[in-house]
Amino acid sequence: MSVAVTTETQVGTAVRAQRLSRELDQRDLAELAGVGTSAVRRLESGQGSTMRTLLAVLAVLEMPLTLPTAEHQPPVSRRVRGKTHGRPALERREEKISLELHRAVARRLRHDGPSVRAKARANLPRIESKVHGRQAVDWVRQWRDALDGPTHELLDLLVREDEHGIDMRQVSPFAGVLSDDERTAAIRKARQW
Amino acid sequence: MVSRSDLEHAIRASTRIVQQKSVIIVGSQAVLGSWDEDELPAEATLSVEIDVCPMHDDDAESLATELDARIGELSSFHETHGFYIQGVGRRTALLSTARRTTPMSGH
Repeated sequence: MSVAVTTETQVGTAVRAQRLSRELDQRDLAELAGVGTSAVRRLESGQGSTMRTLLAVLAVLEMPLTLPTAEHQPPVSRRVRGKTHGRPALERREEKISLELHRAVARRLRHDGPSVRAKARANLPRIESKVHGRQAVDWVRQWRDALDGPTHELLDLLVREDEHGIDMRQVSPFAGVLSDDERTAAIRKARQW
Repeated sequence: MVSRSDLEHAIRASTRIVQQKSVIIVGSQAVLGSWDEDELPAEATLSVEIDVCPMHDDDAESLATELDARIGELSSFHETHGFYIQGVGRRTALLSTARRTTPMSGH
């Protein structure tokens, strides 16, 4: 049986459970995977891991990481990524800030989806009353549909780095989701690009 | 989406935050200084942001960032009023068509 995981804590819990079922301690698993024991410890405690460590550990535990094939994936951005830190080549300062703010919303959505969706739905009527023009009305409709749809589609729409993502964030319904500290951190991160 | 009264509100809020008497409105919403939203095509007021540049700011654009932090995108101001202020640095403002604006008084 498989279950979708969306947080590092969930990944760590699943890895730990599988390790224990095979009666391995963390040192054994680390040795078999060719990684450090501390790396396994951090992975299992939800503190994060490199992709290399994660894949090596999953291979030892025979837990293949499966992803949907291309024909089932939602459209991906074709925007060229910048050369530094894998950041998108968004040119304008406000676009960078907007993207970082919505990345923060995406993190919130992963931890508290129902609350974030409820806040966004509550914002939609006022946005709908203020927009005019066919294009803007359609963007708002897409947000409404996404809020009623699967999480991965909503996440994709939040952090798309192409022109469509930039357009959609212009009529974002997520005002009020983030705390002041979360917003400040996102703005500061965007300014470091 | 942004009205002339929103513009006036944005000016008042921005001047209070940066503690200056005037700010520069940059970009498409500056046209609301001359025309009401009903006199303009829908595309002219499509955005929910108003770009504001402090008259005086340091090289790090600290006051522009302060505007972003206090009344910017996804802030409680945005949630309450349905639009937000985008802080703009002086370098960006000088590259754009800009309109210098004096805040309304007595409101």
